[in-house]
Amino acid sequence: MTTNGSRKLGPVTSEEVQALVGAHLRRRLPADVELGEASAFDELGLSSLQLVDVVATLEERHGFRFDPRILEARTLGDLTALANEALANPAPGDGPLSA
Amino acid sequence: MNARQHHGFILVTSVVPLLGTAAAVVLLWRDLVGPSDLAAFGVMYVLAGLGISVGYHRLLTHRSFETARPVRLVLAACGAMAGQAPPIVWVAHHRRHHSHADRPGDPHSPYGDGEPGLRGALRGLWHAHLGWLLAPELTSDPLRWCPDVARDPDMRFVSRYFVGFVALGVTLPAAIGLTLTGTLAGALGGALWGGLVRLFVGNHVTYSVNSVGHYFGSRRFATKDESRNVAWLALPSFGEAWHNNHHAFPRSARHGLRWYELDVSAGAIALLRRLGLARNVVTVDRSVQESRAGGSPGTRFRRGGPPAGARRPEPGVALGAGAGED
Repeated sequence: MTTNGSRKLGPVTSEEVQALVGAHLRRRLPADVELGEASAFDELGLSSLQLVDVVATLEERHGFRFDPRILEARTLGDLTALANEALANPAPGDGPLSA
Repeated sequence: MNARQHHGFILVTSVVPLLGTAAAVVLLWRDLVGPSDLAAFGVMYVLAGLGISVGYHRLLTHRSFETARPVRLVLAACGAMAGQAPPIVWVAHHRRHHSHADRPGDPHSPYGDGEPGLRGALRGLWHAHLGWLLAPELTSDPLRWCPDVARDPDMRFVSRYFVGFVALGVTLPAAIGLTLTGTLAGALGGALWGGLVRLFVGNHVTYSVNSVGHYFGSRRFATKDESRNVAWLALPSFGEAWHNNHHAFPRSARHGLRWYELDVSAGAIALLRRLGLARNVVTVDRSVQESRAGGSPGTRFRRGGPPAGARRPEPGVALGAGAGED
């Protein structure tokens, strides 16, 4: 599915990941908690379905695929690092999602 | 209570309330329940039921056939109206169930904690039926079990607005009631019978495939799990109750493998194919079936859980292949 002009070139930034996660958490995030590289998905209370949304949105926007190490990602920083690694070393068959 | 008495017990508690509901319909006929209520129930039961069995189960989980994107979306939307789970979550749980069937890691095996005796048996059946859904810590990571479905934007759409689809499953029958009677009472009756009662009946039928379908019934195939074929559940489950057949050949679009094994879902898929809307429908040759036949009693770990050392290693990332043959 093409993403109607919302495709972004260049690396995935921490700010982008924080914005995506933050959008899911909106009102549930306590006022004194700030999203950062070290924030863990478990502690934030992000559901597996919400994580799927973050992962798939990044893949569609930037045109890459996470490798299976995504299963071990625990923090926002892990996600950003894995995304940029995949972007830098595209595996055969990678590319914009078309199906 | 021995195994046969258990069977009777489960049969009675499953069937009698249903007969009671039917009796209530007869007794209250034209007083509180009318034909439009039954029409709403029937239409919604078929839509949501086929959404689960044809959409969620055979198409999304096991990829028993391929279809066009709009058909896939409609089937998933119908499945969501059954109110069981968003498609991405349902598929993740079900692929994990097949990968670990009746072993540690199975989200809904009735042989979970292996407590002996009647008490343990009932606890296990309750867990497999509905209890597992009430355990908040029981999750199956979609990124691991169904990355193919997770990467499908349509399935993410249905999953994100799941509650909206469940609500649609109550308002749609209300619209049916309103259309048929032209009265507010008709709309409310439609929402009640086509929405709430239909949700109750449909969900317990699905839950019964998970609980009864791993406990009481016949085994044609000596699968490594405790799956059973449950004939009396075949019609209301639209064929899902040929559960031992299904565990022997998970990808087969047909769960009823004989002419006399009623399988409404397989009929629906055949109809889709005839209309040009389904292709690459997975079938299993009779010769292949015969080579796997010879059902064992399958009571190896009937009590006390699987034997020591039976635990299989965690499989790698199931890149869409988590539902392959066991």
